Amino acid sequence: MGDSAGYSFLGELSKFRLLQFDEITFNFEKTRWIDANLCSPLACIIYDLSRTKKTVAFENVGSRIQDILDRNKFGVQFMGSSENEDYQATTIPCSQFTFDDKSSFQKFVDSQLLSRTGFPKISRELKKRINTSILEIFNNAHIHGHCNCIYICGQYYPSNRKLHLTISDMGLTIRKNVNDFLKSKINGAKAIEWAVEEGNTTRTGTIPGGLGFSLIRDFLEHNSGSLEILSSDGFWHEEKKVIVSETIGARFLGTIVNIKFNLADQNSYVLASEINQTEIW
Amino acid sequence: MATINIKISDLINNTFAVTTEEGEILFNEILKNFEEGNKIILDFTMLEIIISTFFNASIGQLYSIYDGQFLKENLSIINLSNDDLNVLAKVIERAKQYFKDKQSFENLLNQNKIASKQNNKN
Repeated sequence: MGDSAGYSFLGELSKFRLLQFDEITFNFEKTRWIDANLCSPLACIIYDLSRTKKTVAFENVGSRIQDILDRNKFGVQFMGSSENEDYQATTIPCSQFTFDDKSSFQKFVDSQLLSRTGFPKISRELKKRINTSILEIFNNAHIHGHCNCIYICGQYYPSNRKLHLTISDMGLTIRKNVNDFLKSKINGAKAIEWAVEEGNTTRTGTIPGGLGFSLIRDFLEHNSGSLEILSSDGFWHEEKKVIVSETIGARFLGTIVNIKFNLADQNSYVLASEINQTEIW
Repeated sequence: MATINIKISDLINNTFAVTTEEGEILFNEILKNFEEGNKIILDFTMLEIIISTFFNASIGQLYSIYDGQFLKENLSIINLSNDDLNVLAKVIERAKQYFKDKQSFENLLNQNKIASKQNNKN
């Protein structure tokens, strides 16, 4: 998963909340691999189903898949697995955070996220930029999604020193927010394209906005990372300034933000030239 | 008139300045002091992470009331890293544009309302 076809599948799953069944079984019979970070939207979907009083079961989960799900704590939370040590210390556990407990999320980001023993040592500035990006996404979900929680999950891949991190919510989609604001009827892909442009915001009160995504995009360009957003029927991906924006087959009833950080990044993020603070007003 | 030093980490009781709510705490503190005729020094000491959401709610929002010249004369900043200052500069630039566009939008809305009333009269 991780491409538009995989996301389209998650879109199908997210619509299970609309079904009349009380029990839903996820059959992993032909599943050979699951990107660990995508446990984030899967957990979000299951949480959403539980809120509509639906129960979820799993069957035919192979040992390799079960190992992935157990190491990032998805198994403990949703499959009745016992606590399993992440022996490679490369996972960021699948975790739920509510917006009324922001301090827990901040502590999680600061202490657990980049301090795993399996992660490479990175500069203070790079860590700060990664933390900032994640907190921007978290706040976006709160401000625009109007949902009560997010799920985060991540996986570090030592082979290419990339950290894949996914934050998902089942709140209002970008398509819904943008169309309500612009009084338009554009599709999900066009709505995301609008939302990620610097200066564009659906906020209407006395607090300005419209910078969060553009700051992340600027950073990821320098970091040689990538950004993927799925919301409603829109899929948007940017890597090395190449943007792919397309409509997917099934609408995801929420938003998934998938970021790939390059932890081998040796760039300096300290600005060379001083900014005169008296001139910024 | 006095010059008030606001140590933000103490005010919001956090070393992460990341939420709208925290930004609003600072915004209200600035507002209160301006109304009392004070000048303000914002001290960013001890803050490890500051994101645009916080800057928008605290400083960006000031442009809904004050202009750049007033803020330049009455608000100064200390102990803010160069890269955070860079983000703040973008927030300020964006806030100016936001309130300019908002005003234009509201003017347009008012013009339409007046035109609509006149059409109804006719």
